[in-house]
Amino acid sequence: MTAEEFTHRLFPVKEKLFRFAYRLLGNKDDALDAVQDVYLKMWQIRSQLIEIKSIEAMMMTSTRNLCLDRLKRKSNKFETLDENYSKRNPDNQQPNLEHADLLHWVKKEMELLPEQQKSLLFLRDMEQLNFEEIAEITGFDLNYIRVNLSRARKRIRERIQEMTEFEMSRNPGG
Amino acid sequence: MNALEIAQLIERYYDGMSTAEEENRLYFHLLNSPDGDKYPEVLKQMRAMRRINADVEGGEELEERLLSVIGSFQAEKKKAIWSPYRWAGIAAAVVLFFALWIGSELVKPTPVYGTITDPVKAFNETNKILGRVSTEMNKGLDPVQQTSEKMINGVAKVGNNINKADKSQQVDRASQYLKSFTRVYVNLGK
Repeated sequence: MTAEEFTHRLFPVKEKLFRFAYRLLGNKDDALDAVQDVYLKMWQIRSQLIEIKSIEAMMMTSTRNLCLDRLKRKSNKFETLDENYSKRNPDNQQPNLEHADLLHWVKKEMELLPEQQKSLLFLRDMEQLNFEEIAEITGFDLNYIRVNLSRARKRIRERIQEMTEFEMSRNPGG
Repeated sequence: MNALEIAQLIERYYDGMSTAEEENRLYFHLLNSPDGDKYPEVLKQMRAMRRINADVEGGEELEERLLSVIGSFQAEKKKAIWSPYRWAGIAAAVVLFFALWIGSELVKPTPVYGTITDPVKAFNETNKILGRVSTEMNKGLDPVQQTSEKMINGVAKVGNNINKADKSQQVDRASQYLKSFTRVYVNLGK
């Protein structure tokens, strides 16, 4: 595969990969690095790409794995993901709605989800992929996908309900 | 879409059982109908999920990064193509250089030392050399002439003795003479 063919076939998914990396890593610089690494990795195995049925799914898988590696390295450096999660878990916090809108709050809530649920929400609710595509990317079976997607959606719903109730308590008339 | 159908789709959505088509149908129905007011959290959630990535874009920065990566791929490719040609060219140039050098060494006339360029002097020197050759060659003529005379005399004596002696004596003497001739001849040869 030449550089031109490589560009032509793999370039169109770059934004999708970036969004996925961004959702998993939580910041732009890391997401840019991750996507760049994915393209470098793809270039190294370019001779095998011709035989791959879905390059996009493969790249999404690669992005996810790279992001997980980065998160793991980070967590080893500072703290475990569980510790990180429990420290940031806002179950006992009141939402600060003074400076936050719904979107901001949902984003925050998503960041606190376990990685599998975060990935599933992204792939299903944001990118509208079907379950078979998600299974190919994540390597999870369909039942596991459904169960975890359900948990993630319900968790987001709970937070939205809390926020709505909080808003109503602040503005009973409005 | 009736209320029951909406309720079922919402349930399937939160159970992770709905298809992408069903989710789209539910979202656009709630968005565009008064039913959206009945399920505000569902609509908020579905809308938020669809919009959450609207501001997430790699944009020019991502484009530039990837173009530079791809540029480095192309540079690597050019390098890989150039490299064998370059080395082959260098090898060919070296071989050609040596071939030319060896050829020039072979073709170049080797100088002959002591060559006489003056024709008169050369003629004199040639005369001298030929005279010496002639002198050396003539040295062998006198002994050869003496030997041949001895042989003639010997043969004449043999003839005379044959006539005088008996047959057996004649043969003995003749053989003695022949031996002496042979000795002389051998000595001359040395």
